[in-house]
Amino acid sequence: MSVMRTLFAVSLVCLGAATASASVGPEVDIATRAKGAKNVVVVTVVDMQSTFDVNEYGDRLIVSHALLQVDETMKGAREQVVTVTVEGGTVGDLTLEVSDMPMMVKGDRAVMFLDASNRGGYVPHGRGLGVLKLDSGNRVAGTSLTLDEIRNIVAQGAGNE
Amino acid sequence: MSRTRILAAALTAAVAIGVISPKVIAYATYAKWGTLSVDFYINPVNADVTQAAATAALQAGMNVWNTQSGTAFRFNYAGRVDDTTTSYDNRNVILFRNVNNGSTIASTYAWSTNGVLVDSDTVFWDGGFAFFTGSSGCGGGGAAYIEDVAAHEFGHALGLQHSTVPDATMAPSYSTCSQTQRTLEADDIAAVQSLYFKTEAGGATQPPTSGGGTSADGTPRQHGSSTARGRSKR
Repeated sequence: MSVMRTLFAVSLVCLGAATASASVGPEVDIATRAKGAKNVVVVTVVDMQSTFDVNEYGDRLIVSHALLQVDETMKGAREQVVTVTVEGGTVGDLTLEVSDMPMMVKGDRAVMFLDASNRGGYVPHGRGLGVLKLDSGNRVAGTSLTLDEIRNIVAQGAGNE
Repeated sequence: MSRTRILAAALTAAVAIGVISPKVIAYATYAKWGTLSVDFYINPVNADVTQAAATAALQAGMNVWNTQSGTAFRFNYAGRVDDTTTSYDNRNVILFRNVNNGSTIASTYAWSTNGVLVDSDTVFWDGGFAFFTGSSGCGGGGAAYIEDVAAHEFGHALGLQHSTVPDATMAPSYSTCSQTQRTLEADDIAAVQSLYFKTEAGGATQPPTSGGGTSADGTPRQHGSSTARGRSKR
């Protein structure tokens, strides 16, 4: 075998190792989230309205009401659009970022694990854990987790219930 | 086979195994303070450790960034308060809340105007986790060291988002009783140095401002009293 082929083979092995290493990301226990959530949907943000509100603990915060187009329903009742309320957003020139809540903007796509809100509409199940933003390659942003893998996990969980 | 091809293949292998590591930016930021000195108040009332221990551990979290970031930015402990809620009030507060918030150990609420931070509050979710301080004694499910969680949250307070580097202080997950987040990784340092002045070896290029700090517009912060003890946001 030529030196070049040997080096090429070594490089492929090493690239495979690098890819495996890169897959180690935030712990994502999708099955638990899916089991606990009322709905699991793939959505696109079509509108976002932010306002000041006081939460159940007395914190005065900016909250955002996101109007979401449901592209796919993995669990729960099928709806064309849902409204999800999340902490954080922008009112005027004032922005509130909440560390465990991903900021969503119009056009974002995400897998959302949702619970019914006692104020109407939905809230993310497990706060930020209920929002998995998708990149253009249908992977959860910052991880190697794919939308297909989430579908499989959610489907298996639904079968076990 | 040409020498060029051999070198190209060797280069590919070297990059793959990390011998030659292309610069990868894993951190992200969202805003920054308009000053290099920011005051934080603490309500140390919690369900797990003494108030003195909690206060010291939170200050240790501040000092992670004060001493390891290689910047002139400084967090200042401004005193104890009795706040139990958070809001946009130009006063930065850390408090514990005896509420189980699922898998979230702590949340930082950072307010900014046009990219300039103007207020930051942090809530430790005390109901779902058992907090410890120091470097020993931590154990059991849902156990966490305040120093490490605080270091992470103060990173958010600086304007940093989560990092994709698994061992970074700003990595989004925390392992039970981990003490890794109290030590900044290169990615954390790169993140904070992208926002604030990098210090030269042996001294700051721009010394931190002294006193009670200033608001983003440069005006003195309004604390209401020389010691905020006893004030409540309710």
